[in-house]
Amino acid sequence: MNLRRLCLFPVLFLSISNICNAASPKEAFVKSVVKQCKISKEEAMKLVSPGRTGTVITFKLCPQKTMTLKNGCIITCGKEGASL
Amino acid sequence: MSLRNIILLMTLGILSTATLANSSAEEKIKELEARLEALEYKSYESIATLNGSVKHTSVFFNLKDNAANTTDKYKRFKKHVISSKIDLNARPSDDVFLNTRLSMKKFWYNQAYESSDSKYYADKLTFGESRQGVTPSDSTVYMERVFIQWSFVPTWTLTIGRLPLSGGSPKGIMEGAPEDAPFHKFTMSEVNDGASLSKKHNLTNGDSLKFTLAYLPWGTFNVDTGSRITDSSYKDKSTDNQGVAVDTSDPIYIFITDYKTRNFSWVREFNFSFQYAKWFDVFLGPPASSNLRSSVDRHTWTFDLLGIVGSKFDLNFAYTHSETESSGAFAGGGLFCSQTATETCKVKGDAFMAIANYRATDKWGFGYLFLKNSSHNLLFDNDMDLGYILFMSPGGVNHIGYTNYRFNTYLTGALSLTMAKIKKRYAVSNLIGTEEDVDYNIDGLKFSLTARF
Repeated sequence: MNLRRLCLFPVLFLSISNICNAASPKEAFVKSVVKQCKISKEEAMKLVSPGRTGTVITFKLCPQKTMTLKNGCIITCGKEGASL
Repeated sequence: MSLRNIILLMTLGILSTATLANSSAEEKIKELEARLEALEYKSYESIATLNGSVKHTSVFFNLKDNAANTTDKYKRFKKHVISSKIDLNARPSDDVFLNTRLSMKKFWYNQAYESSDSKYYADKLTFGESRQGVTPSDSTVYMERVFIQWSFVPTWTLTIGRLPLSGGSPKGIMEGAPEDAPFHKFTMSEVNDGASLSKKHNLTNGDSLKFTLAYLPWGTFNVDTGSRITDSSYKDKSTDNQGVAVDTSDPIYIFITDYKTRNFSWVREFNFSFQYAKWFDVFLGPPASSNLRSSVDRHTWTFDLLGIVGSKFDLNFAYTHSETESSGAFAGGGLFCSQTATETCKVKGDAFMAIANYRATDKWGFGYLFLKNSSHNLLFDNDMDLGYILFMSPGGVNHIGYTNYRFNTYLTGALSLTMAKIKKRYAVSNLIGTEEDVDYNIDGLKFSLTARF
């Protein structure tokens, strides 16, 4: 049983859907990596790195337009509040 | 203890209760449940994120007036500017997004005179910029942006308020930063209030197609903000200097089609945008001294080719064509023409921009921008980020070489060199009024250091 399934069980049980839902910065990062780098979700999960300078929060805050991931893929982020 | 650990522990706890049915384990679960619930409510509280930037910019430039006599031939400018933007974003629910941006920008100076000499900041108190806190005159805070976005149906977004319209492409390219606005600077680069409706299609192959219609009325200032309702609080329309009523707001519409794909083999990312702007009889200038109304039709096409044939080389192209019709006059003319209050004029113009950008490493990029603008094309950059370095060339060309370096994730330096030629000059904001032929050469250097958080 992987972590996500493990996570899902108590989430349903305790109705804390906001913690594991798709809107989290990590899920948003993984989703974008899958789409932009054309790799599997499992591969994308390996590119997640923690911390203030890690990939997830850098992608969310988007201080730079592009990020080069450790597999060489270049992804483009969008600044929140900069589009109509 | 991280959330994941808490959840794991709880899961193990839940599984163990099934087999052990142990009362102490149940107590442990209840305790964890209470702690998790507290955490849950804490996360509901923290729906807002705070981020922004602080930027220092220095500009040095020389203007050479080729037509002037030797004493007036050269003018030199040196300016240092500090600016800050603070964005408060909130997504209280999945379909609602709010943005509020506080911003400031000032030249480095301390002393300003309450003088009639317009070269000084006449609206400031003497030494007023040396104070701690603002000049004690009022409680003004500058809100650069404040808007609500509501995705009332998935893929449809309504935006209303003071909209994110300044800071668009190509500013981000030159500074290695994400674009701060949805329009190319050719289409619009100024802060406007209004509303927009957009529809985004996520295509099955990962491409995206987006349509946006924005309504940005040009507001004219005859609204009385009196403290109580009297006849004078609902003023009739102002009249222009010919006695004709001035509308309180004149419509400006912008329609955009954006297409993005990562499915071409020869380029990592391809973006195409068509942007159409239409102004309907927009009143320009103070009514007491103007009767100028202008209509503008502008078509802009932009293409971004990023990562060409697997390299780190990008190309960006933009072309715009505008037709401007002016009736009446302000400061001796209409938009890009000299005329009287009873005359009309129609002018056409276009501009072309090309950028070659190379990201030598993940941290360091450099490139070259070429801009050619005809005399009668409306380019106006009210970004106030010393934008005149970019759009200073009605009837001229501008060459900009630039480089940017990322010292770390949140700190970037940018340097650019400009060589521009200017052939025309207009009385007001270099757009309106009497037209004058000039022959200027400008060489400039701009440096900026930006920290983002």
